[in-house]
Amino acid sequence: MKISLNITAAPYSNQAHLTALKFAEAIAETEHQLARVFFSGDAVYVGNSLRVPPQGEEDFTARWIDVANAQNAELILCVSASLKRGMLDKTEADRYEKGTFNITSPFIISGLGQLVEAGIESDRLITFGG
Amino acid sequence: MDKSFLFVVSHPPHGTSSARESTEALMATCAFGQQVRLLALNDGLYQFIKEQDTILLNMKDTAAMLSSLPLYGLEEISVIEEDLNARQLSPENFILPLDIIPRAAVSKLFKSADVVLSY
Repeated sequence: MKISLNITAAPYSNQAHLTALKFAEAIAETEHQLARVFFSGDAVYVGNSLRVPPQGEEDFTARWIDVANAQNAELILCVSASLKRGMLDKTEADRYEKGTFNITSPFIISGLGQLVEAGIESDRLITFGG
Repeated sequence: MDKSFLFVVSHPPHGTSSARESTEALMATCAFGQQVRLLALNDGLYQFIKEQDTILLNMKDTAAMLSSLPLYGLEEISVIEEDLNARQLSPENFILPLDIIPRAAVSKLFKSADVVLSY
């Protein structure tokens, strides 16, 4: 079964985000495939490559990157949610003439169409809300 | 392949970004030409209330966005009779004609959708 996730819950401050991450990791142990993870709302903060987790605490960003690499899944950050929160990749930083950017591969910035497409093309689209 | 989407909203229009996010996702889904329905639960009902004024909140008026959705293909907006009664609201309080259903009919709505997105 092809599964996609829709995550709106913030990393760290909301349990639902960690639940989503664990769910994604658990898919690797099954016969199912994780196709796409769509982050919107405060969930996009997990794509910030400048985050430094305290020593001895979990690095959610690194775990999502492992999920993407191990399962060949797409990690998509909603563009409107990202830009208003100061989350930019190189292309957006250049477009808006900002001096720096904080989103790098495998995280990708894209639009809500990617969420709709995930709903159309996946067998299951599961929301982890805030 | 076309699928039927059911958006379930249960937050009031302001106070969190929930209504804004669901409305934007709803508009994107309509733009893809999918079958789209909306179910407002509990305080989600307030998203459809008339004469909202968001100027003092410095927020975008989601009710204005929602009121144009039937033009984009949103098929039906369902609300729960019990939720209306509990809030002393009636059909003339809303920006759009709403399909009023008893709470017992909600599970049928969920079952009829291919994709359920809750906000």
